[in-house]
Amino acid sequence: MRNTDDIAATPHRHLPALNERNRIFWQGGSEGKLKFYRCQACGHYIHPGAPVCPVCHSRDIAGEAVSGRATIATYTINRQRWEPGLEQPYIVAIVEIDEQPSVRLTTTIVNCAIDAVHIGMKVKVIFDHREDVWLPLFEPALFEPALLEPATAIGEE
Amino acid sequence: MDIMERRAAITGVGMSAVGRRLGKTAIELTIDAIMAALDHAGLRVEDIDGLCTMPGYSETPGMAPVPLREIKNALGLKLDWFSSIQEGPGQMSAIMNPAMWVACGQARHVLCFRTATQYSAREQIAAAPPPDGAPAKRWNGWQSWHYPFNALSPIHNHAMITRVRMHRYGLTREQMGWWAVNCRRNAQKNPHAVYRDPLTIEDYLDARMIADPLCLYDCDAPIDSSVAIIVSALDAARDLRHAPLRIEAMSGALHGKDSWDQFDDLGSMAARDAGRHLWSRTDLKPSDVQVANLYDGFTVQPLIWMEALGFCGEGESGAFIEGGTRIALDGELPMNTGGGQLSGGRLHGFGLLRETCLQLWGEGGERQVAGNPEIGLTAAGGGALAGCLVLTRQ
Repeated sequence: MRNTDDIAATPHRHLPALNERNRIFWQGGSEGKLKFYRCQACGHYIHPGAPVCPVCHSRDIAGEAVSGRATIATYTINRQRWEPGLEQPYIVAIVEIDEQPSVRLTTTIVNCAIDAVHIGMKVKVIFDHREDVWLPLFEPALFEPALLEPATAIGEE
Repeated sequence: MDIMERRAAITGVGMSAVGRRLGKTAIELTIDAIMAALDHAGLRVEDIDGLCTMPGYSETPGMAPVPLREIKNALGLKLDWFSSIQEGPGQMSAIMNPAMWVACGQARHVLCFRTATQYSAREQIAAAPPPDGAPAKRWNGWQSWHYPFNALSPIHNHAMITRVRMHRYGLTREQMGWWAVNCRRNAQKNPHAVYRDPLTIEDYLDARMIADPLCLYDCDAPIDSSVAIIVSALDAARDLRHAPLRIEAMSGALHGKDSWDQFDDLGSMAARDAGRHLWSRTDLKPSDVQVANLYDGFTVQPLIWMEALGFCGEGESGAFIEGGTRIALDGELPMNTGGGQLSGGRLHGFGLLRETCLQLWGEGGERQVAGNPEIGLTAAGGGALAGCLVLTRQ
């Protein structure tokens, strides 16, 4: 079964309000980058963003890009239609970023067969651009033909 | 160390009608519950000098339809202390904070209430659904990290916790089903429960999936109702209608991040911290508890609580409830004796605390736990927020 939540198949999404502590995260995709705030003193990635490091309490914080690679920590396959126009099934997951697994994102897994998703799956970021926001979704990182059914790439439609 | 919460006791509980299309407004339901609690305790409106609710305000329809000031003004209360608990360690913070108020002498009898009209709110939304098209509103706070990814319901967070526990501990859907079956069995003996038809493990396993691995019967039921609970200073509680239920120990500890996805352990969540802290405040042991009502907005929450509270070892809660005998009314530790929230209705922990109190007062009716229980526990929350308390009848 194919995941119906491919980017083009989702007509609309709820969007976050932007502010000075989340803009780097939500707009990093404009450069094709997944970005987080990072403590410049101890190297700790801080998510959600804050003006102080929770580990060393340094105030020297700056936005930095990461690889966009992550691992699925857990997931659910949604089977309920919560809103008009929102088709199911779709996969909601929590992923842990490679650089610092304690930084997790609740996200959607796209371009992946529903039955193929699993804990430990390697994924990579793919952005869904809506208005002034680039939502970081994730898709399987390794080429596994069985995951794509049929094989299409984003942007080909 | 002084355990100051032992200066506080629950002295009365009251509940409005529970259900759907009750024909009463939220404030009427609240007044019904309050008057029932006062009568139960043997107190008058004039005796109340403290007032608390949670959350007091919410953007979620039907979640907080009655703010504190409406009750204060409606009843003409003369208060020495009051607060609604917008941020705190789960639903029981509206009991545990008042316990601290009476323990330090700022109030003698605190009226605590929780009213929800989530069923009515849902009907109103269904009657006027939002049009198709882009939602115009932008989200702040926790919603902004979940809603853009269509994680639109708390069930998504709980389904993902459940998946972790299946992966890590081998928890099965059949094991979880026994929680739902036990609740329904108890609800059949509770005239106020909303779901009282028989439910078998086969019914559970055949139910419609909502967010795999959670199905319809893993979810509690939105209802309209109000519960009022009176927290009194122990020295003001002695001459009332019932033996005071002293707070032996309580905890709302939270050491991990207050977040569904940033909490350090996705398998235990905040219950881990509150459960561990609770037993550091009493010489009682988990095995001393005679009746427990654990938050079951979703089936996975009581499983987490059972382990966090030491009723069983880590990862063993699935096996503990399997078959439904150990948690039954006549089992070694009866749980969710009124049907829980799954079958009793979503009273946001206040219904569970009321049920624990009724059991300790011997007012459980057909569902009364045998043996005249004196020690009961209620735990509420179970995601990123958690609070729990042990009551002992004096």
